[in-house]
Amino acid sequence: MILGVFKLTSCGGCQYSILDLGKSLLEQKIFYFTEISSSNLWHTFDVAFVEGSVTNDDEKELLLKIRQKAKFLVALGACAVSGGIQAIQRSKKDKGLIFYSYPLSDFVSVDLELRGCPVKSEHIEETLFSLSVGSVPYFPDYPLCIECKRKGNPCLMITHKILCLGVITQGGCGALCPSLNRGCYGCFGPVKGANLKAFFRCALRMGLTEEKIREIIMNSFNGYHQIFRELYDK
Amino acid sequence: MTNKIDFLTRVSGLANLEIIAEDNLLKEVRFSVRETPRLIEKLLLGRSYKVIPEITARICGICPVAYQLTALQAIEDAFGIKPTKEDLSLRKLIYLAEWIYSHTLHLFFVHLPDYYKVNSFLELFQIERELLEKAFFLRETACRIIEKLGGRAIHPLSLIPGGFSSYPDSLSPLIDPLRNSLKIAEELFTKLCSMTFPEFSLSEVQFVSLLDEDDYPILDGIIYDGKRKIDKRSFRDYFLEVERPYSTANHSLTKEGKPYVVGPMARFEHAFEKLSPRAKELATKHGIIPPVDNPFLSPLIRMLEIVHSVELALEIAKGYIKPKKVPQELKPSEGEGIGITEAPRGILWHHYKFDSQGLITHVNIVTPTSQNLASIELALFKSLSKEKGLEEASIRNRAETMIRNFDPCLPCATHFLEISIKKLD
Repeated sequence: MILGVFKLTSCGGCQYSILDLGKSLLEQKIFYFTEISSSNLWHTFDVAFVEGSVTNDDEKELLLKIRQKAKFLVALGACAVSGGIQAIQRSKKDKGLIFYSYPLSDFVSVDLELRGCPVKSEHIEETLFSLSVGSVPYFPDYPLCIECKRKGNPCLMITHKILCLGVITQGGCGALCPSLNRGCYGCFGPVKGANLKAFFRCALRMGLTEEKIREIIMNSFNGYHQIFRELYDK
Repeated sequence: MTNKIDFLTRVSGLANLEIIAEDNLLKEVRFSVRETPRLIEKLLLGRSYKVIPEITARICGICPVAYQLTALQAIEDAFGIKPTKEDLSLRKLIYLAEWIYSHTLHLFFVHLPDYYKVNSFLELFQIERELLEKAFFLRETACRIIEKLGGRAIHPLSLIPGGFSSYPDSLSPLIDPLRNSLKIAEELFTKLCSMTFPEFSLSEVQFVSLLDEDDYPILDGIIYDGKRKIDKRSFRDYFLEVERPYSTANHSLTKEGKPYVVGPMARFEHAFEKLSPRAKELATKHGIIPPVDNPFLSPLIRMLEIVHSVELALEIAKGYIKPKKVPQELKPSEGEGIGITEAPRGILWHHYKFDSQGLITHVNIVTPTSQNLASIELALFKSLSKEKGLEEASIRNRAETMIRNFDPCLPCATHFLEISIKKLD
């Protein structure tokens, strides 16, 4: 398959996860990946991976061009999926700032979103494998709680009164944070159908203020995800 | 005449190069970083100290552990807590793993293709398959160490103020891969020593690194510029940040207004004697001893630091016993804290002030790459002055190769600027 890897505004961590493919990278034809190659060609890409969020007109144009050239466009990680940590500067407290950061889907149609800050390299592998055999990759579409239960972790919210975003966060990481004895901070972004109202009720009962809960969601690296946006108007 | 090279390749992040010449005589070289500033410092203001390690980690996806550990040192400094010996030893282990990860990534997958005159490591695979397979093994080992301690290789999760949120039961699965890695790293160093490197001298710049009484510097230490020893609290008195209108990254200079270099070359210069036994032995055997002021030799020094890191990591892993303790209770109080460590690319300095609730009232982060940018421009100027034609095709390669000697990380260098950005419609 012909691949292109592109970076917009981000920390650069997700694209290097592609190197985790190791030797099997050699089976791919990488035509565009400026961070590892000096030979970069615009071509019709079977798969284009785009890391980072859109923060200026140049990036917007670049993204539109990638979309034109890509048969299958993958948003790689929390910046591309939600606008990243840089997008939280829309929150009330920081309104004085002129800074914008948008997810890719605000401008183009995205064929697949790989969640996480950073993405999980197994998910990149799964994507390439599925596409190469003409199939569609499948990733968990259930909340992180399911993974925690499978691992047999006691619930941190119930047993330790530690706030955990797992209940509103999409699974896929394997419940990493709760397994390390800390609450999930939401880097895989909100799960479809997340019940924010119930989550707020629960967190309020733990003694947090509504403003504090909103701030914790903003800090999730996915604070500007479509599902969370209604929180900004409050 | 201005010659502009858009999209420098095989550097971490986005940058251009502008070459300004008059009558074919080089006047100025501008290394202009094009990364959008993400204003990470600004967005920390008013937030709790608790989010600092997670949020500052996102300044860089190649060296997040450096940001987390430097931030933790600053937080612990502010609130007066001391991590235990066991915790410091484990922090050192995860930091050494990041050095291996970052150096391997840069040296073999970004930099080495230059020395074979190929476009990428993918092409290099056709020539040096075995060598790159070894490099993949080193990278893999480093990832497994960070995963074992922190849950995942990039942006790990267990590093918290006062210690670790959780400890692995055992590190014994790391011992065999580390033993193999040590052998591999030694072989790779020997292999690299057989290559030829261009001659070049950058003797006019100062090297600045940390000094640690007992160790090759990594987790802590006093700043040393070759003449003076400087406490981390006086960093700002000796080093200045200046804006460059053509770049979204600041440049750092000494207070005398001179460029300086941080990173592997500076550490090697000041702490050669404290390298691990195997690293020192190998270096001496191959005549790689200070002073080394040729940036083209930086791959050898990075490789030596990989040998050193693997050897030390192996020792720590062998001696690991799971600590019984739980993280120390931390009470926020009004105050300020400073953290300084040696990131893979050099000195990383964090400064925070907190109110009585532990909310951040001031933040300033100085990154290794911003400290090196002025020296990169100087090295480019010196290197390109020797070129006859100043056309893109002829200088692109030479300029990029020089830049890669310094392993710049541009998202790091760009995190802090306070500028207004064009609004998107």
